[in-house]
Amino acid sequence: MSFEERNTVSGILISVISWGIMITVLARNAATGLYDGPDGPMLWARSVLWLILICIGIGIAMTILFTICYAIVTGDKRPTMLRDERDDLIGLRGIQVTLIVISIGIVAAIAALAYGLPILVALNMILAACALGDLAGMVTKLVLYRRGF
Amino acid sequence: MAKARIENNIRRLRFDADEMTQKELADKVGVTRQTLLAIENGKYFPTLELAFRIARAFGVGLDDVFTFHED
Repeated sequence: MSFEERNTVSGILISVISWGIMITVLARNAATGLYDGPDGPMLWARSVLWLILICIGIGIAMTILFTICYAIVTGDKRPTMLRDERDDLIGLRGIQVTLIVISIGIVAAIAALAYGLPILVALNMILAACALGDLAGMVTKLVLYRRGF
Repeated sequence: MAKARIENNIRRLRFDADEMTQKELADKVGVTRQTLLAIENGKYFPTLELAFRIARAFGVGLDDVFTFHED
């Protein structure tokens, strides 16, 4: 498994955990009625900003942990960190898929607003599109690494 | 436009070069072993720069490594 393929696998795990935490916290807050009322979108945005910071921290910690665990399991004392042209192409394909999913989510959110749904629904749709796009992009990369590109 | 296919002789050239391993060739041309494997199996077509690097690693011309067929 190459360095970038390994990063993709760890990225999927980190993404699932990070987005899982974010969605769980937001759903719990919504259930308590925190986002009801006129200040709802502002409180939602503050929650999301904090959660993004927390998830970045979790992501960095898990990447380091994953790299150490991989080195221990494989016994590779000097793991290579080479990134070549095929990694770049696969990375671009992943970004392409991510952008398509996020774009669909943004259009769906605008459509939701156009049909009179609350702004929080639209914001959650955009957030969900980001989560799905992130995952879809990384899964695409993994498939391309496995299938050959 | 007619369908084209590109084949390569990397496996044979490696064999001729004292059975050079994929890892050795990959290190020589600056790519991962996985990328070299994908090229060798025809699943990935390298850039012109990498193609030249591979040819130079064997000390042969580009035509000796890659062959272009138009069906």
